[in-house]
Amino acid sequence: MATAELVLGLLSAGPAHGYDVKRGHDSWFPDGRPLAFGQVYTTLGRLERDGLVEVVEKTSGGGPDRTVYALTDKGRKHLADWLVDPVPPAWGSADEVLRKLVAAVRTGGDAAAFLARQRASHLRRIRELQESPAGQDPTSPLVRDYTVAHLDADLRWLDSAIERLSEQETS
Amino acid sequence: MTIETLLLLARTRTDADRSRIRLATAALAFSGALLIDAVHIGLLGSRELSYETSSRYVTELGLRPGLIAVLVVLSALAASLAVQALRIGTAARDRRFAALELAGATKGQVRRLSTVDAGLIGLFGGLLSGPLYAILTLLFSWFPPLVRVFPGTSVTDVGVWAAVTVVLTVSGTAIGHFTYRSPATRTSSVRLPRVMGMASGAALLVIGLVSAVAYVLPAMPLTLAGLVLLWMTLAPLRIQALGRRLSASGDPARLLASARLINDTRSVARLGALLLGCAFLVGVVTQMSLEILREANSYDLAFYLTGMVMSALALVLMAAIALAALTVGVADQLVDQRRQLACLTALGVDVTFLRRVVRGQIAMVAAPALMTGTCLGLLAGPSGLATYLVEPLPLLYLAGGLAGLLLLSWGFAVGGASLAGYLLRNQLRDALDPENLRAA
Amino acid sequence: MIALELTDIEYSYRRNTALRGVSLQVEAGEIVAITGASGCGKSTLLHCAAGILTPDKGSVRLDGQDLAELSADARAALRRTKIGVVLQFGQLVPDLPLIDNVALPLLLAGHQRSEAHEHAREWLTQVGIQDEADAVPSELSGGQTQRAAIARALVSGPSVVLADEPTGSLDSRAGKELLDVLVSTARYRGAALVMVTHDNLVAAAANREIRLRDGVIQHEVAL
Repeated sequence: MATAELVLGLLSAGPAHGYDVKRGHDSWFPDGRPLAFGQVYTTLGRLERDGLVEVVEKTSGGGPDRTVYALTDKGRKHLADWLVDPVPPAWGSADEVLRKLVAAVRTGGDAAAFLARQRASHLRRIRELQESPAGQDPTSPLVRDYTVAHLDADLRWLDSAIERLSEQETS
Repeated sequence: MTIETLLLLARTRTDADRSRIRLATAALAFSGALLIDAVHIGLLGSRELSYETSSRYVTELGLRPGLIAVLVVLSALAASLAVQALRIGTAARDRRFAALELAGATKGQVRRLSTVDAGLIGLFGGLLSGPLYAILTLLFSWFPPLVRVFPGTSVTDVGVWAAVTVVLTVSGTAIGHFTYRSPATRTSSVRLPRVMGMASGAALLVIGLVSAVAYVLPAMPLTLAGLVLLWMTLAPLRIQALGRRLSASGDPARLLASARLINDTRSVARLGALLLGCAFLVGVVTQMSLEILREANSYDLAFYLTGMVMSALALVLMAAIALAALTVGVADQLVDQRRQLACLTALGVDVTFLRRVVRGQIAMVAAPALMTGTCLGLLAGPSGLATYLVEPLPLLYLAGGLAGLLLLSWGFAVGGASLAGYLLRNQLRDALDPENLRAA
Repeated sequence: MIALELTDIEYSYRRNTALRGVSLQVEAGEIVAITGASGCGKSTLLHCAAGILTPDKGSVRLDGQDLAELSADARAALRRTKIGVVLQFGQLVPDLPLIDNVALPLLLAGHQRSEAHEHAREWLTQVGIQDEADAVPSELSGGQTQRAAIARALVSGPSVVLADEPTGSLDSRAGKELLDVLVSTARYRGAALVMVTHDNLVAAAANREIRLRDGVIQHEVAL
């Protein structure tokens, strides 16, 4: 996961508190899972250790939320390099749906019923997303399209899985 | 449905449909003009006309019934062409009706549209027939007196014109009502069972040929009707067989032409039958002319030959219009399949190639009909078969006439097909335009 | 209230059976998606519901009225007033301007042209193509043609709108826009909407998914 680089990106506009970093992340990915506070601070700590960010202000007696971080030159370069590199295609990592399906088929569970419910759940998620308009900023519609397209791809795979199971049943 | 809606929906706007309607209107107007002429001559009664101003066919009392009969036959031929033009199920029209039914139109409403459509054509044809008669009268007055078969205009013609208009409107309406078939119920259209058509056609033909020995003139229409009926029932089989044979051909132009023929066998067969009828009469006229030429001692040679040539010309005109109807059908197919045709551009199909397809498609229908018709007409004319048995024609005459007619009718068919290809060149270019890939 | 009720529908084409006993009920205002692989019988089912095809067995009830008990003309009249149909393409009369195309069901029902146009204009506005009222279908984009089809489907105030792959001829963006128009227009009218589709994004707009396989319902889930 590229949370570290995202945090660098969030700091590139100027120094910020850990809290601002979290807020920024969640507004960049409105349909995604919110970033946990704990993860923000461990990430910032690691980045500081590697010299990619530095502490520019620290209110006395304050906890971690009192600290203001800023990008270093090294951090800026790291971010630029990261943005240039293409991402290697995913390595067929099994997500939860696939794991459940394989387990259901192997253990003689009702795979067809599971797939039908999974389809419904995915369709419902797409409808929720389609019903609330995406934000007006430049990236929100992109994030939205990405999420919907991936759900659609999952659904198409679910479709073919249903067909395949039905064929195996009838033959 | 209000009258306004009815008229709005009956009005057609696509090009293919417009040319179909123009053809039907023109044919009806021509038919009406001939009818006015026939009635005009009939109303003359035993009144004498000056030899200076009118043709002898009109002035000689004894010839008038014959002329009237010829005019009525020609008028009926023109009218049957109009019926044919109205029946051509243009694809655009079928789609239109299907779309209307989808919008909730009842079958009755769609039929009413088709009826109003045809009624309007009858009305316009009727309205045009009067002026057309006047124009023809004027035109013929420039020719030598012998060919002036339009004996001038009179006040009564206006009344006749009105009556003809009413008749044409009513018959147009009737045609529209009875020839309508819903695009959805393609197979259940009213049609003569094939066996019955074949049997009655053959019976008529035999009766016609046999009775020709004793009663020459009344036997002719019987022979003709039998021939046309037989052709109409057999031609679809022949066209299908031909199509199947051609579809095995390696030449892509023939392949395409045959596929399109098979697609629309019935209307093609009807037009073929019309061509056959015209060709048969041309054959008959030719035979009569040959007979006159043989008895070359007749001082009336000019008189007879003029009549023959004029009848032949009228028939050729009719055949030309029938070819035009065939062309309209082809053009309609082109417009309808323009998307598929545009796809062919990618395979290297160009306008020249497509013209070859169209030429083949028309010639394949017209040539056999015309050649068969003329030959049979020549052999079975009024002084035909029966007379040949008693008093054989010099072989040279018969062979010469036969060869000449075969060559002429073949030339007419092929020439007409090439002309059609030439006339359709713009439609063909449009059809191949890659722009069509965009439009559905 | 049940707007559309299909009971035990069976339908065969010449050689193969398309539907083998399908039953379904659609409540007023509900949105139903019928999905399934190509050839599963979903379009046939829709055409039976629309009265375009007559099922071999089973009954179709519209607002409680059995279609089989009606004459062909009464069925056409019912189709005109109670059902709106949107197909994938090719349902507009090619040579009529949009305004007349949309007004067609009203004109066929005997309304005056001016009155029919007034309604048609309202629905053209509703689907967002009021500026194209005088254009003929060939001058429009695929999306605009489909919008006109939606306007026409709704102009006579139907209680059920049946759509067969309404976005099938459009790209994903135009398809999404059209879907929004279709759903919001049906809601605006309060009509039930039954969509046959293989597009998951279209299916996602429904309250219920009915999936067909080989002419029978494979599963049915609430969304």
